[in-house]
Amino acid sequence: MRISVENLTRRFGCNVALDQVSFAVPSGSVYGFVGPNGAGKTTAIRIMAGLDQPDSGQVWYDDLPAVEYPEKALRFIGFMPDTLADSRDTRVWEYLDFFARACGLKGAEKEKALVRVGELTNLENLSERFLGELSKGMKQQVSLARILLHEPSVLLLDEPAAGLDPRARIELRQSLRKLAFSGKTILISSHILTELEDLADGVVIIEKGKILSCGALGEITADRKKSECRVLLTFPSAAADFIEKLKALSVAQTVEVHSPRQLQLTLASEDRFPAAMAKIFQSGLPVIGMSRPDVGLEGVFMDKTSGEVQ
Amino acid sequence: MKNIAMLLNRKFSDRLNPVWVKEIRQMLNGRGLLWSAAALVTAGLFFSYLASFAGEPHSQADPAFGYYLFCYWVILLIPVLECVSRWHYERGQDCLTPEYTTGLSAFTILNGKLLAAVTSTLILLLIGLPAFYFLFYSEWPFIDYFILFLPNYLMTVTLLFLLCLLPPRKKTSPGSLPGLVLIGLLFWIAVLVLLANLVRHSLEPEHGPILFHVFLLSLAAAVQCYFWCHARLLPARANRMLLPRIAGLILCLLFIPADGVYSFNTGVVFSVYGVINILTASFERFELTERCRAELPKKPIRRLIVLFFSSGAYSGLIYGMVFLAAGAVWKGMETVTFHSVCFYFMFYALAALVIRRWKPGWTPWALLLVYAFCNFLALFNIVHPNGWFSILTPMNILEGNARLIVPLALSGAVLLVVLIQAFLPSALPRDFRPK
Repeated sequence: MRISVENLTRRFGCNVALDQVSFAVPSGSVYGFVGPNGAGKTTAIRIMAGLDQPDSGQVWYDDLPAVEYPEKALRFIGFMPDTLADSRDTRVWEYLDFFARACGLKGAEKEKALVRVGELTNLENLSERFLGELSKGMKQQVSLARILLHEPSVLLLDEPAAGLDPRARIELRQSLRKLAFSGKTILISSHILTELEDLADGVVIIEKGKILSCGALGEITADRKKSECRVLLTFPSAAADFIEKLKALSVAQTVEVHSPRQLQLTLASEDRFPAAMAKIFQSGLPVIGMSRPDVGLEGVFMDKTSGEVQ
Repeated sequence: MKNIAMLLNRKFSDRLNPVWVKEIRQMLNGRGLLWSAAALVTAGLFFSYLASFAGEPHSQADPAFGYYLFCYWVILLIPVLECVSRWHYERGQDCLTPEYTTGLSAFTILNGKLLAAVTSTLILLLIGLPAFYFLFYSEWPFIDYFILFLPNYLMTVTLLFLLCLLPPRKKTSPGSLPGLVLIGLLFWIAVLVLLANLVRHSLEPEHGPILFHVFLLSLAAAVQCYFWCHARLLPARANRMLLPRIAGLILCLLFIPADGVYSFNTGVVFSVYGVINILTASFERFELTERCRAELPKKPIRRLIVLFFSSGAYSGLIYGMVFLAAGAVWKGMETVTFHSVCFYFMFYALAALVIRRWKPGWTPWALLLVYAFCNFLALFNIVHPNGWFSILTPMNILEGNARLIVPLALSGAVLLVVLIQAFLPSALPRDFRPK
């Protein structure tokens, strides 16, 4: 199912949270929704899930206008909010049972769905625990389980990995990876760009309520290759000792100390990278490591955004 | 036996209202209900004990004081004790009411909440029955207050359950639909508490007319509140006011045979209902939503009928004015002062519409303030006719039918401005297609 967002505008008083936001997520693909804090990600996702109303604009799921008919859209959307259920009076199985009933699942079909999501999210041993007793990672798994009960064709995940410890994050990533192969259209809002890069086919970058970039990951990173590129070289001893030798090679526009054992080279363009690296290694400099800080999603994000909030 | 239980569970459990099942589970897992029952029984015994002193010769204790204290205790404190933790959780800034993230219909959500309130009352009654039984046979004076307690508790818990449904917002204007629902429900509670108190004296024949009036009005208020709550749960762009307005019309028609019984004045009910709708209309959106337009019938007569009941400032205005006009034509000459106030209400509501169209940024808060101020002045003029406030509501210098004619003329003039301002909504059905 294709998601198409058209000219969404949402104001909170004088503050414009979303300003003519438009983007599309092709059917069956996984897109990252990234931006600094206060960029408008949660507002956009809440509108897409039918929980908030835009001042203008429309969200389409194939041919269905979700702003007008949110109750119809909710039947095939799984929305995972950034806030988690923590009722002290509800057990995990009761919480999931409520959502299964709310989705119209009955009898054996309901039992089957509960077992399926329990296995996918490793909740089998937690079913008798109260929601208020769970850790943040466990709650995230419960939230993920409940949105998968009715096998939605679209998943909207708002900061699913926020505040999780490394183990919980890895477990969540594994669950998401399984989902990414299931043919669902998924939009994930997240700050953890390296993890998104592993999962996502494309990315939507938003800042100050405006879309800065949107498209397949390959296309967006390919655009960047035309601009200058930065390379970090790691040395076994003080990096400052090698500045003059590198400058003498004339491979980079600038050479600066990045950290005690690292030098940062700025090349005029991405095209010069292979030749420059060949020349450096042939020169016999004791380089023990090389990295590209601005390649990939992180690089694109840093390029496109200014870090300002509304 | 186990198989039968499983079969019953499979056959019937899944047919139950999911919201009701969720609420009952939460209620049973939590301790609120148990604490409420304990508080009820303790309070009953304590106040009964106090009242027993009131009958002694040198006692200065007033039984009425004990009664009112008990009423406040059971009406306000116990239900709040029961619901406060859930209220706190569900109204918290970070909480997302789970019902809203599902495809549950508005009726399912509303009925589930109401059923849960009824069930909690029944559970409380069952827990309290041994104490009631003991008090009844001891002939302690406060037994009737316990009976009063149950409807009061039911109403308060219902209110709290329904208020939990309102999404947490930093700014909820009293003029918006949730605000109106809140005000309506508070009114409903006040009426029912009054009713409950009247039931105590229902055997006295002179209370018959009051009981009849209160019964009819509280029934109407309850039905309207139910449909307002339903409207509140519908998506923002749906035709929310359709059902409340149809229900209102049916109720008003059902009231016609009651006119004259125990001096019941149906015309006044029509007028009050009309004024409420005019006031509500002044806060509604001017344009029909895309969804409302798409759902309008294509045949002109059907479209006009649906438009009459639809959400929107102009539809609401016409709907309210029809009822006010019907009430005024029917009983206007008998209740000149009352209808004069109604027309002032209409005049101010129309003026608010003009202002809002001209200055869309003005919030309903400001308009509500205008209503409150102007109508206070209008009422003040009736009570204290020599005030200088007569500039705004010159009722005191008018006599007889002129009292009706002046606000009517004022309303008519402003209505003309409203009509000129209104770019009448193009009520053509539209198809939805992605661009």
